[in-house]
Amino acid sequence: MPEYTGFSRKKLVLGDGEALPPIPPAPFVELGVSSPFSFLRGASDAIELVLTALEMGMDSIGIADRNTLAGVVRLHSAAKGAGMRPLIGCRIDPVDAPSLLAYPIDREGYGRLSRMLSLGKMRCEKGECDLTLSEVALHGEGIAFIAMPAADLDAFEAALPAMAAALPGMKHIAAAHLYRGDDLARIERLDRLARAHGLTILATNDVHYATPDRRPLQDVMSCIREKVTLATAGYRLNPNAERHLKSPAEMVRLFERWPHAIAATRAFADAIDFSLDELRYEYPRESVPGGRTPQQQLAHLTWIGASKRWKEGVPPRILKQLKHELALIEKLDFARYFLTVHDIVAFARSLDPRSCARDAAARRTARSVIAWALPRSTRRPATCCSNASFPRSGKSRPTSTSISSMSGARK
Amino acid sequence: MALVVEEAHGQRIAAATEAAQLLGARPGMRLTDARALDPGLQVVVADPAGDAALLERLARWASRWSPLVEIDGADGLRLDASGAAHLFGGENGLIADIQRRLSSLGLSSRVAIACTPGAAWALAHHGASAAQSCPVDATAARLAPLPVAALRLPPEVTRTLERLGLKRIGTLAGVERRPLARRFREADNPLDALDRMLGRKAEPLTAIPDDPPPRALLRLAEPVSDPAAAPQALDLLVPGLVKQLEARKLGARRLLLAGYRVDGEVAVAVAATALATREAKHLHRLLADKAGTLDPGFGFDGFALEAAWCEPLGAGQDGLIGGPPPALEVARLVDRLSVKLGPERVRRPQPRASHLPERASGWRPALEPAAECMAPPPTAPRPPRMLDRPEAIAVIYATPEGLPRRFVWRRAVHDVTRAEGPERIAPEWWRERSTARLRDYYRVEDREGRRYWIYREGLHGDGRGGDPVWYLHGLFG
Repeated sequence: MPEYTGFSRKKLVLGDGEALPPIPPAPFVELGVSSPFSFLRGASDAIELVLTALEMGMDSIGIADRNTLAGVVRLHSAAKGAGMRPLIGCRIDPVDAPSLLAYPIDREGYGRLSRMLSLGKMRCEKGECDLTLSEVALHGEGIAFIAMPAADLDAFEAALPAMAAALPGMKHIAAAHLYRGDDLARIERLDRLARAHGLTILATNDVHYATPDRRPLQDVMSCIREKVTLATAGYRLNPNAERHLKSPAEMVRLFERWPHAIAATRAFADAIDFSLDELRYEYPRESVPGGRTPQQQLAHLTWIGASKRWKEGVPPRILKQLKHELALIEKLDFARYFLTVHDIVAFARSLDPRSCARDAAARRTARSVIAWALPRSTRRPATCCSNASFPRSGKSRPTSTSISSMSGARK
Repeated sequence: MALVVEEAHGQRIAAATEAAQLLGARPGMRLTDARALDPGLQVVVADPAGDAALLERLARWASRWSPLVEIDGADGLRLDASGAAHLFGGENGLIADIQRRLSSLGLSSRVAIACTPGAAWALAHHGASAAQSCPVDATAARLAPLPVAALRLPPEVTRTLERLGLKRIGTLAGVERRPLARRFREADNPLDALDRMLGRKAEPLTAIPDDPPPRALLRLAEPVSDPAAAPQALDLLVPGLVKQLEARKLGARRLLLAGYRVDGEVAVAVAATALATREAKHLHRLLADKAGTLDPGFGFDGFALEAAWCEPLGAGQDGLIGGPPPALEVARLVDRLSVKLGPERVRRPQPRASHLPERASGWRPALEPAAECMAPPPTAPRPPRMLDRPEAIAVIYATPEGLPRRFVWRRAVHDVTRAEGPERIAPEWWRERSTARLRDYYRVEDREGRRYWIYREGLHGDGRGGDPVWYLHGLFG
């Protein structure tokens, strides 16, 4: 079988790196978007979705994959590359209630949403998620929910009171033109239902692909998911190709009778105050005892380690190198990373005294004398004899160093 | 000469004559390799299906020696000779008889009789002589010099044994059991094989299935050439067949009435049923007409009524409020119509899973069982009456996708007072041409309260033809 080579993740960059002109706000924001991370459901990747949305004049786009946040980074980077505003969320399928779109309003809400998903996924097989409505409610603070009715409205109507009571953050019911012949009656009924519970309907097109010509791909993916052939799939496939991104003007036309459903999308998007840019890696705080800054703690540990290793006094050249590296680490605000790896190694040593840091990031930092001084690596660092390559690379490319070490620290 | 089979990587030798084997051809070898050794090798394509059929015929034929015959692999038969050998003058006599009769068929054979099937197989395939009978107490001694391949284990297990230096069955039998058991834990392990061979573990034979269909016979003292004889014979045969069906808890799906004529010919009438049944009256009715048309020729001297295809059928109860259940009535009607008109002319509707309305139903022969079909999703209702072919209509509507206001069908103008829709059904792209257009179905009601199901084919500017065309596809109520 030929290997597929030359694969690299595509990146969307428009306008040659210059600042893109701001897009005027559109009346409608699509929030029910499935990307390929809704496995075998979404048929258009983030870049396709963003480019199509951009062409249609949308200024923001949501992402709500089934029970996962895995696809949000791609949509975030693609939308940023196109000058659009990404709205980060996910679609939750509770076992005992209709589906929900969940959009965190702030950083804390995002944390709770992630924790909720981890809770649901860790108790079942890979690819599945087992959450109940009460668990969603438990983690629901700081998250805006949208109820997503399925085809059977009677069941939805029966489940809605319990949902509205459990989730005070749920203010909307999603309404979509399904083109099943009863859209008018259906959306009208949803509207009445929403009013009765003090909610509003919110227009969406339950997007599964960017353009209608993606329907064949989506049908084939559905067949793979259901393990049938196209000829025998029958009613498992969608009857039409309407699950694509529709322009704000088209959506306004479709929801002519319910302008508040369109306005709700705009208001919903404007109320979200969270972006993936807010996320930073956070090192554990336990590695620093109280009363010291991380840098002080690192220096403290380094001098203890150095005095242990060079029993007859630290040679002047090493002393100079250590001071130089400590200064550099202080400049890059990097001490927490060293302390965390030190913690991990100390823990490994407590289990098996022979173990030493062998992961990629530790190997990289083992070239530092500090790593040698801290009882981490048993290998003699190259910097002892030659000029320090770690500090040099750190100086020239601080970001790349920090990223690679972050990935190591996660291990 | 060699027999070859076609494989993924070219032709491979399935079997080779002794002369060919002397020149280097071996079973399992590539034909090209064998040709390199012996350019004059003659090749015939093997026919495994024909071989299997021959072996099965041979197995039935071999029941002359023993009531229990089993086909063993692609080239072997196993006979249970216990209690049968003395009929042929003891075990040696039996072996001689088998060899003589097989060679008269032009087959070469290796025959062995032993106390277990495994031992007999080993001796027949790997024994020193082509025919031998092995007394019970000598089994272990006779098996000892045979290679471990005679244990009939998977090749990898045999290879492992050979690598361990256990090349003969005797050596293997000498090894302590416990370490062997620890090493070979699979289902096909040498210890089990050895036990089966030496009779320490049971290995029963499974006979070729022999289950004659229920059959009633009628022999006549004198040949009758009266055409009315067959229906009269049917009267006598049906109760007998029904009794047999009852005893075996079966219901007939296909019946066969055979009239044996004095000139050696057989006249046959066939009838099939939609539901398994053993009701005498119904069976009789199905065959009565056909029995009358059987050509007696010079006269029948015997009749047989056979249920060639049966299905299990327990005792059923009729409806509590008199009369049989409706499904049974329909099945009987189908049977009678099929007998009169021919089975392919009686059809029943069959639902199919498709969003396209005209593809959502089809027909199947009524005698065939209904195919499984998934339930359609809840959608807008379908009209009870659909036109076979949608009829083009002229419609006034708000372009591009507005509701229809007025339409002209069969030269009559209908003002639309109510409309609901659209229900959008896209073409099945995997079987239709790329120019096929989607349909938007609307339910409309005109001034007189008549409801129609109409659709617009295509959208403005969908790039698949000009302006959309409207059709009327069905009528409600």
